[in-house]
Amino acid sequence: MTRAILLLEDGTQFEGSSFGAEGEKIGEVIFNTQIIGWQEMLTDPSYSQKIINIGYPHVGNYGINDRLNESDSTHALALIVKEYSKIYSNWQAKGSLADFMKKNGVIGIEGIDTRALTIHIRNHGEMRGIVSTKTYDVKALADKVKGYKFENRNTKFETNTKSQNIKSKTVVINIGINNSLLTKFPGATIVSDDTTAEKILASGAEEVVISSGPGDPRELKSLVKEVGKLVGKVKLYGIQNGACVLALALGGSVYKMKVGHHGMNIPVVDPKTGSGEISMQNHSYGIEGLGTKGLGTGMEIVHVNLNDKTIEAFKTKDGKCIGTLYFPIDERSKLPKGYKLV
Amino acid sequence: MPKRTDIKKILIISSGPIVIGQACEFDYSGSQACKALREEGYETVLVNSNPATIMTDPGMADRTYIEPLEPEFIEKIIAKERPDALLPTLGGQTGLNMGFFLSKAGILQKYGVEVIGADAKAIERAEDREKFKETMASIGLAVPESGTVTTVEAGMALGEKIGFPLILRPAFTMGGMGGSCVYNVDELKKGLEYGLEVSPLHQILVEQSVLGWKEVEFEVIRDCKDNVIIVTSMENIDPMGVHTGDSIVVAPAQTLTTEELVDLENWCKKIIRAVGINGGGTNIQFGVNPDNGKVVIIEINPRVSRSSALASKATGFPIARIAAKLAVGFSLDEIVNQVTGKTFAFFEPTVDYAVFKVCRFAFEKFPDADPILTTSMKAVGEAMSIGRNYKESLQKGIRSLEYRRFGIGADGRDEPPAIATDMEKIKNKLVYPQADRIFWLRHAVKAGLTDQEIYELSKIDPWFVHQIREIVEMEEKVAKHKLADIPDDLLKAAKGFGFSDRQIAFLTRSDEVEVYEHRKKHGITPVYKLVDTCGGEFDPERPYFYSTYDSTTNDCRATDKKKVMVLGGGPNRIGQGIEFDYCCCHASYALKEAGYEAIMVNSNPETVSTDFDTSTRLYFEPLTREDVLQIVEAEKPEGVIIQFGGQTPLNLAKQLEDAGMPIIGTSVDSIDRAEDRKRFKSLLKKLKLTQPANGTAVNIAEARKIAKKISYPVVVRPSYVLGGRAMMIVYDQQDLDEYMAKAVFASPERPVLIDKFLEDAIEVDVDCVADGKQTVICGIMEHIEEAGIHSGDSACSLPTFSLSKSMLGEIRQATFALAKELKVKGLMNIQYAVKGSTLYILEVNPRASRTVPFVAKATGVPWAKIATQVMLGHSLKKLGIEKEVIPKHFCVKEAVFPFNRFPGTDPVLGPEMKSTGEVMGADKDLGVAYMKAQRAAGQKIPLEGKVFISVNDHDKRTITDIAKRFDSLGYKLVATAGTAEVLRNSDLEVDEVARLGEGRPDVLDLIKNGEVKLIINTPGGKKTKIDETKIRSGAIMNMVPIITTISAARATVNGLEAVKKKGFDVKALQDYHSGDSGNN
Repeated sequence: MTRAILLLEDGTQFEGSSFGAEGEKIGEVIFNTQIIGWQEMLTDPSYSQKIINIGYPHVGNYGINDRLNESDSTHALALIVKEYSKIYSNWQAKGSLADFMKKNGVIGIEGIDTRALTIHIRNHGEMRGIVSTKTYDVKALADKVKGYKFENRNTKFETNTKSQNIKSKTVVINIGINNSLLTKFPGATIVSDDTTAEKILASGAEEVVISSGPGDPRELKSLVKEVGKLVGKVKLYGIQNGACVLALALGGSVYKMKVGHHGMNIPVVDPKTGSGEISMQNHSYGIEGLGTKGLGTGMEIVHVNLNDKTIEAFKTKDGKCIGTLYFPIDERSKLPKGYKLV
Repeated sequence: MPKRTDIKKILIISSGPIVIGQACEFDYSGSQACKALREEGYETVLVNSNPATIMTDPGMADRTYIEPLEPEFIEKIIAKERPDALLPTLGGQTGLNMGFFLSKAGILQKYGVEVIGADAKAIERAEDREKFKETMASIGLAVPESGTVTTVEAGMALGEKIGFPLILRPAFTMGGMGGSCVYNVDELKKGLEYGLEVSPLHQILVEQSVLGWKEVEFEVIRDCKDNVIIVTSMENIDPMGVHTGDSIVVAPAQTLTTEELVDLENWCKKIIRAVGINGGGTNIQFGVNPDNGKVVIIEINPRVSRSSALASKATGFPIARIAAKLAVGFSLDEIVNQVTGKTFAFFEPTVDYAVFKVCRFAFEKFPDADPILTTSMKAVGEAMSIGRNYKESLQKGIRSLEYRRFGIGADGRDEPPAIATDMEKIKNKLVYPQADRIFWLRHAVKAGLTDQEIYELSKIDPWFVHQIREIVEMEEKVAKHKLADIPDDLLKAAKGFGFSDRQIAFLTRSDEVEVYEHRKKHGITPVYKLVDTCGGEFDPERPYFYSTYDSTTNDCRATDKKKVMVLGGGPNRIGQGIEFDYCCCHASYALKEAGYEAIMVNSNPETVSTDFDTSTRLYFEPLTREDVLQIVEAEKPEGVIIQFGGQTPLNLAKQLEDAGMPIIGTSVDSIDRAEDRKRFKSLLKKLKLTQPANGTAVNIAEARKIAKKISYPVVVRPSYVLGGRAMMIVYDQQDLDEYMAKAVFASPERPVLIDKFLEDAIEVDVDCVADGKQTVICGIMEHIEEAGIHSGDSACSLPTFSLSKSMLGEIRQATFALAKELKVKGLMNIQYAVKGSTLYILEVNPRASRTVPFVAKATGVPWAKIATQVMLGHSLKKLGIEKEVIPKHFCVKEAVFPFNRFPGTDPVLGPEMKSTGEVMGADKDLGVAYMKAQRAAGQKIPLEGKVFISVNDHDKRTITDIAKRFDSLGYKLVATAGTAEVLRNSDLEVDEVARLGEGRPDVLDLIKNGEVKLIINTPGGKKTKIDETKIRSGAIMNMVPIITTISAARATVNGLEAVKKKGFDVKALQDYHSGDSGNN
């Protein structure tokens, strides 16, 4: 079995063996508390440039199935696991996770004390790391991590209209949407993130969704500006990083969290009533201050994270702008009241 | 929502005696509920007939009633206490049924009592088969094709329409009791007859079989704000067809995709909403077709359950505590998660380890029972194991069961190769699930079957089969080495796969101690990881611990404070159960009170001792030498308490002491003096005490010689056993020869013990506590049944009722002498027999006994706690415990048996223990107390009707007087020829009925037709055994109360006379002891 190494930027080192693609990748190391859902994580664009650590010991048990992909390709760089399953067993399985990762260039390391890694990140924050199955020269690897600058994440994501003629009432601005979210807006026109406010308004669209996506939402400066122009004119819904973009457009502020929220067991509640839902989350950026721009009426908190009390959802007082940092998974979860998409 | 202020006093109905399907998980949940409600300032009233529980300690609830769980008694309690609310969801099926019936009968309305936790409508939608089907249909969820019937005829018609195989599920029964899987018309008819009988509503669901489908369970909670959480999923390794209580279960589910799991979780949310639970939890069971993912709902249990206890222990999320808080109006977001200390109950726990639940069976006690596992639960206990991967966890689970197996085979205890490689046998064992199927998976792998082939036969998912294949591959690698040359990497990897030192020793031809020392030298030791509810996301305040070799970072939180370790009792089994957990918990409480850290080691997820806040630190680990020693090395306790966990820690005592473990309390040597036959004999001789004439034998010739010398009847048994395993009374040489021929276990190290059997002797149990200088008697209990019936199976009374003052004096003196000679520090139990004016010593156990909690309840003194304080060095004098407490009322303990789970077995009592639980009845009058105990034990002794009497020749003299008294109480007597003649000679009017095979209607017909309301039948020996077994097991199956000893018949008639005169009254434990508490 090939040796594989994970070196964090603070010098902490973990060694295991390779089960996915061979190579060397630099990314941001996060932990996810889900026990399943690896294929979805790897293919969700919002995991772009992430090295994902899974605390749960067994990964790969039920294999993979193309139907479960969250996009057309993989986006995460590597998967760190305790034990990769030697076999897979599920009636829907079409292949093994390892083969899928090899095919898509995703590095896999098994045999890591992933709980220890989780606790390290919990204590020291999400940080850069390098995974390698090629060189084990720690010093060389350390130099690479230190010197590495992430590329501007401003990748163009696919759209469903070549000419970008908007005919639907609902428009989704794609900053890295996943398939699960996409299915919530059937019939919507998907546009790229350089689409201008003028163009959207000219089309007669009534509702605009800013999708989830990877990277630092604060870097999407021109999009923030365009969204600002839409405020008050159409209904706006932002999800995950899309919510950050919306918050920025409303004059709020966004910050990088020490440890992001990555899991499917995270409670969000209305701070006034305590009622809420268990949500699926994957965000490393939070919303700190609420803006006051929303048509002069300002923003208010709809949901906070019950664990750490950070903002998870907001709306403007007129109800026209709504942002959620989480992906709702409750069977009854619908977009906030009075906001009917679809 | 804040808590409700319109209710102040809450009645909690618990689950009663430990029976199959309802064990100490309800002590765990009930205790949690009591604590949770009291900390919110509610006044709690608890009713439970089981004195062995922690929850019935006077300090747990404000008002504690140890009374039968029957509407008649509960109504009396309600009338007396006038509670505002009833919480019925924490006492298992018994509590739920009781709440439902009280509501239906209008009793709750009459006294203005509100049901909280789950209202009657929700209970009905969950439990009534038709309403459940309707509710599921309303949300579009498929149920297996089925229908509810109330007659055999309707069931036959429906069954033939749906097609075989079929599952039968009687309504409102627990642990699937009376349920079965039937393959043909014949079995269907039998199943219907029995199922209708055991269902309290005489209602049975006839259902399409989904045999072989995956069985997946969820624990779901909803609050009054409509917040819903899924605590965890659990997947049964044994697929549909084996009751979940008999299945090996893993948490969380392993072979479902995210999409499948989220779909099932969404169904769970729909179900809990549709059923209408809005302040409590439910267990939900699905069947999932492994070929196409099709989902059917099997059943839901809108209450805490065995599964919820398991889910709680597996995740660290205390469901019962939370359910209690929700019931009084709190919402999930308001309840703090005490394990993390910083998050809330509105949160779905996640794990970063693998959990197994494995089951402990007792088929060896019921040789006539069908050993095939079906939809009716048969397991008597369970163990839970935690590892950092499935292989480690599974092997830890197997050794936690204490079957003297130390992993999945390769421990020197496997089937001989000729059997283990017999392909026919292997296939048979895979197809027909039995308790040992997991070991046959290994044989199947070794015999060359593929994962897929094994799956086809067993329907056990290939993923699980492959885990065992990986274990086998590791085993083969290890077996190539000797201990001296095994590479460290390989040894570490094997330990990471859960291999025990015993297995490694077997594979490398060395011994356990050598392997342990070798590992230590090579630095191959476990690290300890946490159960923290959150997979490491938060730094927890109150986690508990498990060991793993499959990780590098040690999260052990051992401190250097003064601490004492308590070894628990492991999985429940017949002879060792909740009573010992009671003692262990008290040890922890006492240690903490005394300023020590209490370190608990146990593997039983049902118990209070494995609750996260019972001890300072809990290690969820198997109770074997290596596992315990590793914890000792990590924690370095000042002392280790071994005398509270029953036989489990005692069996380890010598090995642990040899390894340098600081055992506190009575010395291991003293324990040995009492256990070792020869040393015991000389001990008694030294003290001039008498024991029945006895000897030991290793072969037939020796046995014959001894038996002849001491004269028949004699009691024979193997040495070193628990609960009278394989113990028998033999009356002649032929019986003795048969026994010895079967006693293949006999060897010079393990001889067969032969004692003179004392006929018609009175048996007496004594518990005492001693501090090395002074001894105080906790209680003297006089058995109702004569000597010869295992003490765990006989009823007894505290105080005694027929012993003379001088005999009691003699008993006390003998007790003091033994305690002094054995330098007892802590508890000791002695069993005496009184024959004529002679006192015999039967057995001395210098440890906590099964009766300690009963004695504590009867006397109002926390003996286990006092014993712990003594072990810490306090004198009884200083503790103010100097005199025996003799209660002014009578407390009767009665045993409860699992015969109804094992159709066809003979319910006759003997020296081998068969009961699973106990109840207590208390009253000023012994007869009333005895009858209360009978009622609590489920013996519905009628107040009128026909009594069938058939006794052996020996008992014919004494039965006349008893029959006369039944006659004058207005009962009609029925007997077979021999007994009838005897009774007629005394001028009694008797209906004669035919013996089996001598004409119809015979006695079995009368039983089946419900004409006979009570049966008195004493065993007549071998010749009549077959017919008698039919009668006795017929009585059990038709739920006709049966009495098998003359002494119990006499006690019953005494009781009936008293009850007819005085009736029943209820009284709280607190009231019994308020006047006469203390040591006067």
